[in-house]
Amino acid sequence: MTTVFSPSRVVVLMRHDLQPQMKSLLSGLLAAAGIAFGLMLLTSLGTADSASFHASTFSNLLFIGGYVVSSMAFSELQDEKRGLHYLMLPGSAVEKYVARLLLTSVGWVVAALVTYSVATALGAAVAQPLFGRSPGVFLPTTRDTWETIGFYLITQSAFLFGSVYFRKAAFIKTVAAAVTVALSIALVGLLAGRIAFADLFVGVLQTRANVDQLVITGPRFESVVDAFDAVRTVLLYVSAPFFWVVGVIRLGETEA
Amino acid sequence: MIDVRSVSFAYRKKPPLFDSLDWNLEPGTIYGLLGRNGAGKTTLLKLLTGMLYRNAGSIAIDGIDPERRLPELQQEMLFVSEELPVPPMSISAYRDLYAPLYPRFDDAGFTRYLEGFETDPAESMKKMSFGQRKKALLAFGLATCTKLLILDEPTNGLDIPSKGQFRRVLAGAADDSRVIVVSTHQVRDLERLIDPITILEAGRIIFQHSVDEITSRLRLHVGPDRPEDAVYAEQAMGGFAALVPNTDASTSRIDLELLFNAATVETDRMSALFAKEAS
Repeated sequence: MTTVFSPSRVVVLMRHDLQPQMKSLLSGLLAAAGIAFGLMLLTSLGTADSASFHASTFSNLLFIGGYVVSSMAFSELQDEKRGLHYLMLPGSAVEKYVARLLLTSVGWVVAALVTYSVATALGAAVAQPLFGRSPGVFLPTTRDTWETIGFYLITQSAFLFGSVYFRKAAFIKTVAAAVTVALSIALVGLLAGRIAFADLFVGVLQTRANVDQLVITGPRFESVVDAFDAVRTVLLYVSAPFFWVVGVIRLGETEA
Repeated sequence: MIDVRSVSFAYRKKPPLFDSLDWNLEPGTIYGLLGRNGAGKTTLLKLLTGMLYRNAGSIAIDGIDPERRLPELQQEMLFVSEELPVPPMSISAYRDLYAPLYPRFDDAGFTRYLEGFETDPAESMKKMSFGQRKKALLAFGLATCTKLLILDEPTNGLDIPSKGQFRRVLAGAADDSRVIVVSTHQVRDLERLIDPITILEAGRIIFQHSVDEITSRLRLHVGPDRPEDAVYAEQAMGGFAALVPNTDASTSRIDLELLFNAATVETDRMSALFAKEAS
Protein backbone atom coordinates (compact mmCIF):
# COMPACT_ATOMS: atom_id res chain seq x y z
CA MET A 1 0.00 0.00 0.00
CA THR A 2 1.31 3.42 -0.95
CA THR A 3 1.87 5.74 2.00
CA VAL A 4 2.78 9.33 1.30
CA PHE A 5 2.59 10.38 4.94
CA SER A 6 3.95 8.29 7.77
CA PRO A 7 4.33 10.08 11.12
CA SER A 8 7.11 7.72 12.17
CA ARG A 9 9.04 8.50 9.00
CA VAL A 10 8.57 12.22 9.61
CA VAL A 11 10.13 11.74 13.04
CA VAL A 12 13.10 9.89 11.53
CA LEU A 13 13.51 12.66 8.94
CA MET A 14 13.39 15.29 11.67
CA ARG A 15 16.14 13.43 13.53
CA HIS A 16 18.11 13.30 10.29
CA ASP A 17 17.62 17.05 9.83
CA LEU A 18 18.42 18.03 13.39
CA GLN A 19 21.15 15.72 14.62
CA PRO A 20 24.00 16.76 12.31
CA GLN A 21 23.18 20.45 12.91
CA MET A 22 22.89 20.19 16.68
CA LYS A 23 26.27 21.71 17.49
CA SER A 24 25.77 24.66 15.13
CA LEU A 25 22.25 25.22 16.40
CA LEU A 26 23.28 25.17 20.04
CA SER A 27 26.17 27.53 19.29
CA GLY A 28 23.78 29.94 17.60
CA LEU A 29 21.27 29.80 20.43
CA LEU A 30 24.04 30.29 22.95
CA ALA A 31 25.19 33.37 21.07
CA ALA A 32 21.62 34.69 20.98
CA ALA A 33 21.25 34.03 24.69
CA GLY A 34 24.49 35.90 25.31
CA ILE A 35 23.23 38.88 23.35
CA ALA A 36 19.91 38.88 25.20
CA PHE A 37 21.76 38.64 28.51
CA GLY A 38 24.03 41.52 27.56
CA LEU A 39 21.11 43.65 26.44
CA MET A 40 19.35 42.93 29.74
CA LEU A 41 22.32 44.29 31.65
CA LEU A 42 22.64 47.33 29.39
CA THR A 43 18.95 48.09 29.65
CA SER A 44 19.12 47.75 33.41
CA LEU A 45 21.48 50.70 33.43
CA GLY A 46 18.64 52.79 31.97
CA THR A 47 14.97 52.98 32.72
CA ALA A 48 14.36 49.22 32.37
CA ASP A 49 10.89 49.21 30.84
CA SER A 50 10.29 45.47 30.89
CA ALA A 51 7.22 45.34 28.66
CA SER A 52 8.76 47.06 25.63
CA PHE A 53 12.22 45.54 26.17
CA HIS A 54 11.01 41.95 26.15
CA ALA A 55 8.50 42.57 23.37
CA SER A 56 11.11 43.98 21.00
CA THR A 57 14.06 41.78 21.97
CA PHE A 58 12.13 38.53 21.89
CA SER A 59 10.51 39.54 18.60
CA ASN A 60 13.93 40.21 17.08
CA LEU A 61 15.21 36.81 18.20
CA LEU A 62 12.08 35.05 17.03
CA PHE A 63 11.65 36.74 13.67
CA ILE A 64 15.19 37.43 12.51
CA GLY A 65 16.56 34.12 13.76
CA GLY A 66 13.53 32.20 12.55
CA TYR A 67 13.51 33.75 9.09
CA VAL A 68 17.22 33.03 8.64
CA VAL A 69 16.83 29.44 9.86
CA SER A 70 13.81 28.93 7.62
CA SER A 71 15.64 30.38 4.62
CA MET A 72 18.45 27.88 5.15
CA ALA A 73 16.19 24.88 5.72
CA PHE A 74 16.63 23.43 2.22
CA SER A 75 20.11 24.82 1.54
CA GLU A 76 21.46 21.39 0.52
CA LEU A 77 19.38 21.58 -2.63
CA GLN A 78 21.86 24.20 -3.84
CA ASP A 79 24.60 21.55 -3.95
CA GLU A 80 24.27 18.74 -6.50
CA LYS A 81 25.78 15.98 -4.34
CA ARG A 82 24.04 16.96 -1.11
CA GLY A 83 20.79 17.57 -2.96
CA LEU A 84 20.93 14.13 -4.56
CA HIS A 85 21.56 12.50 -1.20
CA TYR A 86 18.64 14.34 0.41
CA LEU A 87 16.17 13.76 -2.41
CA MET A 88 17.06 10.05 -2.46
CA LEU A 89 16.18 9.65 1.22
CA PRO A 90 13.05 7.55 1.59
CA GLY A 91 10.28 10.03 2.22
CA SER A 92 7.61 11.76 0.21
CA ALA A 93 7.83 15.47 -0.56
CA VAL A 94 5.05 16.00 1.99
CA GLU A 95 6.96 14.17 4.73
CA LYS A 96 10.22 15.96 3.99
CA TYR A 97 8.53 19.36 3.91
CA VAL A 98 6.53 18.73 7.08
CA ALA A 99 9.68 17.62 8.90
CA ARG A 100 11.46 20.88 8.08
CA LEU A 101 8.31 22.93 8.64
CA LEU A 102 7.90 21.57 12.15
CA LEU A 103 11.53 22.23 12.99
CA THR A 104 11.56 25.80 11.67
CA SER A 105 8.13 26.80 12.98
CA VAL A 106 7.13 25.13 16.23
CA GLY A 107 10.64 23.87 16.88
CA TRP A 108 12.18 27.31 16.48
CA VAL A 109 9.48 28.91 18.64
CA VAL A 110 10.22 26.47 21.45
CA ALA A 111 13.96 26.99 21.07
CA ALA A 112 13.53 30.78 21.08
CA LEU A 113 11.22 30.72 24.08
CA VAL A 114 13.52 28.51 26.13
CA THR A 115 16.67 30.39 25.12
CA TYR A 116 15.18 33.80 25.79
CA SER A 117 13.51 32.79 29.06
CA VAL A 118 16.72 31.31 30.43
CA ALA A 119 18.84 34.26 29.24
CA THR A 120 16.51 36.84 30.74
CA ALA A 121 16.15 34.92 33.97
CA LEU A 122 19.93 34.91 34.32
CA GLY A 123 20.04 38.54 33.28
CA ALA A 124 17.48 39.53 35.86
CA ALA A 125 19.26 37.50 38.54
CA VAL A 126 22.47 39.41 37.82
CA ALA A 127 21.06 42.87 37.05
CA GLN A 128 18.73 43.20 40.02
CA PRO A 129 21.38 42.92 42.78
CA LEU A 130 23.93 44.76 40.65
CA PHE A 131 21.90 47.74 39.51
CA GLY A 132 18.85 47.57 41.76
CA ARG A 133 16.54 47.17 38.78
CA SER A 134 16.05 45.07 35.66
CA PRO A 135 13.48 44.52 32.91
CA GLY A 136 12.39 41.44 34.83
CA VAL A 137 12.00 37.86 33.72
CA PHE A 138 10.34 37.24 30.38
CA LEU A 139 6.89 35.72 30.75
CA PRO A 140 5.86 33.83 27.63
CA THR A 141 2.25 33.52 28.69
CA THR A 142 1.08 37.01 27.74
CA ARG A 143 -1.42 37.54 24.94
CA ASP A 144 1.01 39.77 23.04
CA THR A 145 3.67 37.06 23.08
CA TRP A 146 1.31 34.47 21.65
CA GLU A 147 0.06 36.89 18.99
CA THR A 148 3.70 37.52 18.05
CA ILE A 149 4.33 33.78 17.85
CA GLY A 150 1.20 33.34 15.75
CA PHE A 151 2.36 36.03 13.34
CA TYR A 152 5.77 34.34 13.12
CA LEU A 153 4.23 30.96 12.35
CA ILE A 154 2.28 32.53 9.50
CA THR A 155 5.05 34.61 7.98
CA GLN A 156 7.85 32.05 8.29
CA SER A 157 5.98 29.89 5.80
CA ALA A 158 7.04 32.34 3.08
CA PHE A 159 10.70 32.03 4.05
CA LEU A 160 10.51 28.23 4.15
CA PHE A 161 9.00 28.29 0.67
CA GLY A 162 11.75 30.68 -0.42
CA SER A 163 14.33 28.18 0.80
CA VAL A 164 13.05 25.52 -1.56
CA TYR A 165 12.18 27.87 -4.43
CA PHE A 166 15.36 29.92 -4.69
CA ARG A 167 18.60 28.16 -5.50
CA LYS A 168 20.83 30.73 -3.81
CA ALA A 169 20.56 33.62 -1.35
CA ALA A 170 17.08 32.50 -0.35
CA PHE A 171 16.72 34.92 2.58
CA ILE A 172 17.52 38.03 0.58
CA LYS A 173 15.42 36.94 -2.38
CA THR A 174 12.44 36.13 -0.17
CA VAL A 175 12.67 39.55 1.48
CA ALA A 176 12.92 41.14 -1.98
CA ALA A 177 9.89 39.19 -3.17
CA ALA A 178 7.91 40.19 -0.07
CA VAL A 179 8.81 43.84 -0.58
CA THR A 180 7.77 43.58 -4.23
CA VAL A 181 4.40 42.12 -3.23
CA ALA A 182 3.93 44.78 -0.55
CA LEU A 183 4.77 47.57 -2.99
CA SER A 184 2.38 46.08 -5.54
CA ILE A 185 -0.44 45.92 -2.99
CA ALA A 186 0.36 49.46 -1.89
CA LEU A 187 0.27 50.68 -5.47
CA VAL A 188 -3.05 48.99 -6.13
CA GLY A 189 -4.40 50.41 -2.87
CA LEU A 190 -3.17 53.87 -3.81
CA LEU A 191 -4.82 53.75 -7.21
CA ALA A 192 -8.05 52.37 -5.73
CA GLY A 193 -8.06 55.07 -3.10
CA ARG A 194 -7.40 57.77 -5.68
CA ILE A 195 -10.39 56.58 -7.65
CA ALA A 196 -12.72 55.91 -4.69
CA PHE A 197 -11.88 59.14 -2.92
CA ALA A 198 -11.37 61.35 -5.93
CA ASP A 199 -13.04 64.31 -4.22
CA LEU A 200 -10.31 64.36 -1.59
CA PHE A 201 -7.58 64.94 -4.16
CA VAL A 202 -6.41 67.81 -6.29
CA GLY A 203 -4.16 66.87 -9.18
CA VAL A 204 -2.89 63.32 -9.47
CA LEU A 205 -1.91 62.38 -5.93
CA GLN A 206 -2.02 65.59 -3.95
CA THR A 207 -4.69 65.68 -1.25
CA ARG A 208 -6.78 68.73 -0.49
CA ALA A 209 -5.36 71.10 2.10
CA ASN A 210 -8.04 70.33 4.68
CA VAL A 211 -8.30 66.58 4.08
CA ASP A 212 -7.30 65.77 7.66
CA GLN A 213 -10.27 67.75 8.91
CA LEU A 214 -12.77 65.88 6.84
CA VAL A 215 -14.82 63.17 8.50
CA ILE A 216 -14.68 60.13 6.31
CA THR A 217 -17.77 57.96 6.75
CA GLY A 218 -20.35 56.18 4.74
CA PRO A 219 -20.28 53.33 2.19
CA ARG A 220 -16.95 54.36 0.64
CA PHE A 221 -15.18 54.23 3.95
CA GLU A 222 -16.88 50.95 4.84
CA SER A 223 -15.69 49.43 1.59
CA VAL A 224 -12.14 50.48 2.45
CA VAL A 225 -12.49 48.79 5.81
CA ASP A 226 -13.93 45.68 4.11
CA ALA A 227 -11.01 45.59 1.70
CA PHE A 228 -8.56 45.90 4.57
CA ASP A 229 -10.33 43.08 6.43
CA ALA A 230 -10.20 40.92 3.31
CA VAL A 231 -6.44 41.45 2.92
CA ARG A 232 -5.91 40.73 6.60
CA THR A 233 -7.98 37.54 6.37
CA VAL A 234 -5.99 36.37 3.38
CA LEU A 235 -2.74 37.12 5.17
CA LEU A 236 -3.73 35.44 8.41
CA TYR A 237 -5.59 32.39 7.17
CA VAL A 238 -4.66 31.73 3.55
CA SER A 239 -1.01 32.69 3.09
CA ALA A 240 0.56 30.01 5.28
CA PRO A 241 -1.41 27.07 3.84
CA PHE A 242 -0.77 28.48 0.37
CA PHE A 243 3.00 28.55 0.91
CA TRP A 244 2.96 25.07 2.48
CA VAL A 245 1.17 23.59 -0.53
CA VAL A 246 3.31 25.30 -3.16
CA GLY A 247 6.40 24.44 -1.10
CA VAL A 248 5.55 20.73 -1.18
CA ILE A 249 4.88 20.92 -4.90
CA ARG A 250 8.14 22.72 -5.52
CA LEU A 251 10.11 20.21 -3.44
CA GLY A 252 8.52 17.36 -5.39
CA GLU A 253 9.62 18.97 -8.65
CA THR A 254 13.17 19.64 -7.57
CA GLU A 255 15.78 17.72 -9.51
CA ALA A 256 19.20 16.62 -8.35
CA MET B 1 12.56 -5.65 -12.80
CA ILE B 2 13.75 -2.33 -14.24
CA ASP B 3 12.35 -1.39 -17.60
CA VAL B 4 13.53 1.70 -19.46
CA ARG B 5 11.63 2.36 -22.68
CA SER B 6 12.19 5.04 -25.30
CA VAL B 7 13.53 7.50 -22.79
CA SER B 8 14.55 10.89 -24.10
CA PHE B 9 16.22 13.58 -22.07
CA ALA B 10 17.98 16.87 -22.59
CA TYR B 11 19.23 19.41 -20.09
CA ARG B 12 17.68 22.85 -20.52
CA LYS B 13 19.07 24.72 -23.53
CA LYS B 14 21.38 21.81 -24.39
CA PRO B 15 21.21 19.25 -27.20
CA PRO B 16 19.47 15.94 -26.40
CA LEU B 17 21.53 13.56 -24.30
CA PHE B 18 19.30 10.52 -24.73
CA ASP B 19 16.96 9.80 -27.59
CA SER B 20 14.65 6.80 -27.32
CA LEU B 21 16.95 4.91 -25.00
CA ASP B 22 15.96 1.39 -23.99
CA TRP B 23 17.47 -0.58 -21.14
CA ASN B 24 16.34 -3.59 -19.23
CA LEU B 25 17.86 -4.73 -15.93
CA GLU B 26 17.16 -7.96 -14.13
CA PRO B 27 17.89 -8.86 -10.49
CA GLY B 28 20.77 -11.08 -9.52
CA THR B 29 23.29 -9.18 -11.65
CA ILE B 30 26.00 -6.60 -11.22
CA TYR B 31 25.76 -4.36 -14.26
CA GLY B 32 28.85 -2.49 -15.33
CA LEU B 33 27.87 0.80 -16.96
CA LEU B 34 30.70 2.15 -19.06
CA GLY B 35 30.86 5.29 -21.13
CA ARG B 36 33.04 8.20 -22.12
CA ASN B 37 33.20 11.37 -20.04
CA GLY B 38 30.01 13.27 -20.73
CA ALA B 39 28.24 10.26 -22.23
CA GLY B 40 25.53 10.61 -19.61
CA LYS B 41 26.17 7.71 -17.23
CA THR B 42 25.35 9.68 -14.09
CA THR B 43 22.43 11.37 -15.83
CA LEU B 44 21.02 7.97 -16.82
CA LEU B 45 21.35 6.75 -13.25
CA LYS B 46 19.59 9.87 -11.98
CA LEU B 47 16.76 9.27 -14.45
CA LEU B 48 16.59 5.69 -13.26
CA THR B 49 16.09 6.82 -9.67
CA GLY B 50 13.67 9.64 -10.46
CA MET B 51 16.14 12.34 -9.50
CA LEU B 52 15.81 13.87 -12.95
CA TYR B 53 12.58 14.08 -14.93
CA ARG B 54 12.71 12.60 -18.41
CA ASN B 55 11.31 14.40 -21.44
CA ALA B 56 9.70 11.31 -22.96
CA GLY B 57 9.45 7.57 -22.53
CA SER B 58 8.84 5.46 -19.47
CA ILE B 59 10.79 3.92 -16.63
CA ALA B 60 9.37 1.31 -14.31
CA ILE B 61 10.98 -0.33 -11.30
CA ASP B 62 8.83 -3.31 -10.36
CA GLY B 63 6.03 -1.55 -12.21
CA ILE B 64 6.40 1.77 -10.36
CA ASP B 65 7.56 4.97 -12.03
CA PRO B 66 10.51 6.33 -9.99
CA GLU B 67 9.46 9.90 -10.88
CA ARG B 68 6.61 9.50 -8.39
CA ARG B 69 9.30 9.32 -5.66
CA LEU B 70 7.14 7.10 -3.52
CA PRO B 71 8.77 6.31 -0.16
CA GLU B 72 8.07 2.59 -0.65
CA LEU B 73 10.19 2.65 -3.81
CA GLN B 74 12.86 4.97 -2.41
CA GLN B 75 13.38 2.48 0.44
CA GLU B 76 14.42 0.02 -2.26
CA MET B 77 16.93 2.31 -3.98
CA LEU B 78 20.27 3.69 -2.90
CA PHE B 79 22.62 5.87 -4.91
CA VAL B 80 26.17 5.94 -3.59
CA SER B 81 27.61 8.79 -5.61
CA GLU B 82 31.27 9.36 -6.34
CA GLU B 83 31.58 12.06 -3.73
CA LEU B 84 29.08 11.77 -0.94
CA PRO B 85 28.76 14.40 1.76
CA VAL B 86 29.12 13.06 5.27
CA PRO B 87 27.83 14.59 8.50
CA PRO B 88 30.20 15.12 11.45
CA MET B 89 29.58 11.84 13.22
CA SER B 90 30.94 8.33 13.61
CA ILE B 91 30.03 5.50 11.25
CA SER B 92 27.92 3.85 13.91
CA ALA B 93 26.06 7.12 14.53
CA TYR B 94 25.57 7.43 10.76
CA ARG B 95 24.07 3.95 10.78
CA ASP B 96 21.78 4.87 13.71
CA LEU B 97 20.60 7.96 11.81
CA TYR B 98 19.95 6.51 8.37
CA ALA B 99 19.29 2.79 8.85
CA PRO B 100 15.71 3.34 10.14
CA LEU B 101 14.83 4.68 6.67
CA TYR B 102 15.65 1.30 5.11
CA PRO B 103 13.39 -1.42 6.58
CA ARG B 104 15.62 -4.31 5.49
CA PHE B 105 18.85 -2.86 6.80
CA ASP B 106 21.22 -5.71 7.69
CA ASP B 107 23.12 -4.88 10.87
CA ALA B 108 25.14 -8.09 10.82
CA GLY B 109 26.00 -7.47 7.20
CA PHE B 110 27.04 -3.89 7.94
CA THR B 111 29.42 -5.12 10.64
CA ARG B 112 30.76 -7.77 8.29
CA TYR B 113 31.35 -5.28 5.47
CA LEU B 114 33.11 -2.85 7.79
CA GLU B 115 35.35 -5.68 8.94
CA GLY B 116 36.00 -6.55 5.32
CA PHE B 117 37.00 -2.94 4.70
CA GLU B 118 39.02 -2.85 7.95
CA THR B 119 37.09 0.23 9.04
CA ASP B 120 36.39 1.16 12.65
CA PRO B 121 32.69 2.03 13.21
CA ALA B 122 33.58 4.32 16.11
CA GLU B 123 35.74 6.57 13.97
CA SER B 124 34.44 10.00 12.96
CA MET B 125 33.68 10.18 9.26
CA LYS B 126 34.86 13.78 9.00
CA LYS B 127 38.31 12.76 10.19
CA MET B 128 38.61 9.87 7.74
CA SER B 129 40.45 10.01 4.46
CA PHE B 130 38.41 10.11 1.25
CA GLY B 131 39.00 6.40 0.67
CA GLN B 132 38.05 5.41 4.19
CA ARG B 133 34.86 7.47 3.99
CA LYS B 134 34.05 5.84 0.71
CA LYS B 135 34.46 2.36 2.17
CA ALA B 136 32.20 3.24 5.10
CA LEU B 137 29.50 4.53 2.75
CA LEU B 138 29.86 1.50 0.49
CA ALA B 139 29.44 -0.75 3.51
CA PHE B 140 26.32 1.15 4.49
CA GLY B 141 24.96 1.02 0.95
CA LEU B 142 25.46 -2.73 0.73
CA ALA B 143 23.86 -3.26 4.14
CA THR B 144 20.63 -1.45 3.18
CA CYS B 145 19.67 -4.52 1.09
CA THR B 146 17.84 -2.28 -1.37
CA LYS B 147 16.59 -3.91 -4.56
CA LEU B 148 18.50 -1.34 -6.62
CA LEU B 149 21.96 -0.26 -5.56
CA ILE B 150 23.83 2.23 -7.71
CA LEU B 151 27.53 2.76 -7.21
CA ASP B 152 29.01 5.67 -9.11
CA GLU B 153 32.79 5.27 -9.48
CA PRO B 154 33.05 3.12 -6.34
CA THR B 155 36.77 2.40 -6.61
CA ASN B 156 37.79 5.98 -7.31
CA GLY B 157 39.97 7.09 -4.42
CA LEU B 158 40.56 3.60 -3.08
CA ASP B 159 44.09 2.30 -2.72
CA ILE B 160 45.07 -1.06 -4.23
CA PRO B 161 44.37 -3.19 -1.12
CA SER B 162 41.03 -1.41 -0.68
CA LYS B 163 40.06 -2.22 -4.27
CA GLY B 164 40.62 -5.88 -3.51
CA GLN B 165 38.56 -5.54 -0.33
CA PHE B 166 35.79 -3.86 -2.33
CA ARG B 167 35.72 -6.67 -4.90
CA ARG B 168 35.46 -9.29 -2.17
CA VAL B 169 32.81 -7.39 -0.24
CA LEU B 170 30.72 -6.63 -3.33
CA ALA B 171 30.90 -10.23 -4.54
CA GLY B 172 29.63 -11.35 -1.13
CA ALA B 173 26.80 -8.84 -1.08
CA ALA B 174 25.31 -9.62 -4.48
CA ASP B 175 22.20 -11.78 -4.42
CA ASP B 176 19.35 -12.87 -6.66
CA SER B 177 16.94 -10.21 -5.46
CA ARG B 178 19.16 -7.27 -6.14
CA VAL B 179 20.21 -5.17 -9.12
CA ILE B 180 23.58 -3.55 -8.66
CA VAL B 181 24.72 -1.00 -11.21
CA VAL B 182 28.34 0.04 -11.12
CA SER B 183 29.19 3.06 -13.19
CA THR B 184 32.92 3.25 -13.70
CA HIS B 185 35.90 4.28 -15.75
CA GLN B 186 38.15 2.00 -13.70
CA VAL B 187 37.19 -1.12 -15.61
CA ARG B 188 40.29 -3.06 -14.62
CA ASP B 189 39.30 -2.77 -10.95
CA LEU B 190 36.04 -4.56 -11.57
CA GLU B 191 36.80 -6.76 -14.56
CA ARG B 192 35.86 -10.06 -12.93
CA LEU B 193 32.89 -8.67 -11.05
CA ILE B 194 30.67 -6.78 -13.47
CA ASP B 195 28.49 -8.90 -15.71
CA PRO B 196 26.84 -7.92 -18.05
CA ILE B 197 28.80 -5.08 -19.61
CA THR B 198 26.73 -2.11 -20.68
CA ILE B 199 28.23 0.61 -22.81
CA LEU B 200 26.58 3.99 -23.23
CA GLU B 201 27.48 6.11 -26.23
CA ALA B 202 25.78 8.91 -28.18
CA GLY B 203 22.64 8.72 -26.08
CA ARG B 204 22.08 5.01 -26.58
CA ILE B 205 23.01 1.70 -25.04
CA ILE B 206 25.23 0.47 -27.87
CA PHE B 207 26.42 -2.69 -26.16
CA GLN B 208 24.95 -4.89 -23.47
CA HIS B 209 26.12 -8.47 -23.26
CA SER B 210 27.15 -10.90 -20.57
CA VAL B 211 30.75 -11.90 -20.17
CA ASP B 212 29.87 -15.41 -21.41
CA GLU B 213 28.37 -14.00 -24.60
CA ILE B 214 31.39 -11.78 -25.11
CA THR B 215 33.97 -14.52 -24.57
CA SER B 216 32.03 -16.91 -26.80
CA ARG B 217 32.18 -14.42 -29.67
CA LEU B 218 35.45 -12.63 -29.14
CA ARG B 219 38.95 -13.61 -28.21
CA LEU B 220 41.85 -11.50 -27.08
CA HIS B 221 44.87 -11.63 -29.33
CA VAL B 222 48.23 -10.12 -28.43
CA GLY B 223 51.01 -10.35 -30.96
CA PRO B 224 53.59 -8.53 -33.07
CA ASP B 225 51.29 -8.16 -36.06
CA ARG B 226 47.78 -6.84 -36.46
CA PRO B 227 45.48 -9.81 -37.17
CA GLU B 228 43.67 -9.51 -40.46
CA ASP B 229 40.35 -10.64 -38.97
CA ALA B 230 40.58 -8.28 -36.00
CA VAL B 231 37.30 -6.62 -35.11
CA TYR B 232 39.36 -3.98 -33.37
CA ALA B 233 43.04 -3.59 -32.68
CA GLU B 234 45.30 -1.08 -31.06
CA GLN B 235 48.99 -0.84 -30.54
CA ALA B 236 50.34 -2.34 -27.34
CA MET B 237 53.72 -3.26 -25.92
CA GLY B 238 55.30 -5.76 -28.24
CA GLY B 239 52.90 -5.18 -31.12
CA PHE B 240 49.13 -5.23 -31.13
CA ALA B 241 46.29 -6.08 -28.77
CA ALA B 242 43.24 -7.07 -30.72
CA LEU B 243 39.77 -8.53 -30.38
CA VAL B 244 39.21 -11.24 -32.97
CA PRO B 245 36.18 -13.45 -33.59
CA ASN B 246 36.31 -16.55 -31.42
CA THR B 247 36.00 -19.21 -34.09
CA ASP B 248 37.33 -22.14 -32.14
CA ALA B 249 35.28 -21.83 -28.94
CA SER B 250 38.40 -21.16 -26.93
CA THR B 251 38.15 -19.30 -23.69
CA SER B 252 40.18 -16.23 -22.95
CA ARG B 253 39.97 -13.27 -20.72
CA ILE B 254 38.54 -10.14 -22.23
CA ASP B 255 40.26 -6.82 -21.76
CA LEU B 256 37.39 -4.49 -20.88
CA GLU B 257 39.23 -1.39 -21.97
CA LEU B 258 39.83 -2.95 -25.35
CA LEU B 259 36.23 -4.09 -25.48
CA PHE B 260 35.04 -0.59 -24.66
CA ASN B 261 37.16 0.95 -27.38
CA ALA B 262 36.00 -1.68 -29.84
CA ALA B 263 32.35 -1.07 -29.04
CA THR B 264 32.62 2.70 -29.33
CA VAL B 265 34.87 2.82 -32.42
CA GLU B 266 33.58 -0.20 -34.34
CA THR B 267 29.98 0.00 -33.15
CA ASP B 268 28.40 -1.37 -36.33
CA ARG B 269 30.84 -4.26 -36.65
CA MET B 270 30.33 -5.23 -33.03
CA SER B 271 26.55 -5.04 -33.37
CA ALA B 272 26.66 -7.15 -36.49
CA LEU B 273 28.93 -9.76 -34.87
CA PHE B 274 26.69 -10.19 -31.87
CA ALA B 275 23.49 -10.01 -33.89
CA LYS B 276 24.78 -12.63 -36.34
CA GLU B 277 25.72 -15.03 -33.59
CA ALA B 278 22.43 -14.48 -31.80
CA SER B 279 20.49 -15.34 -34.91
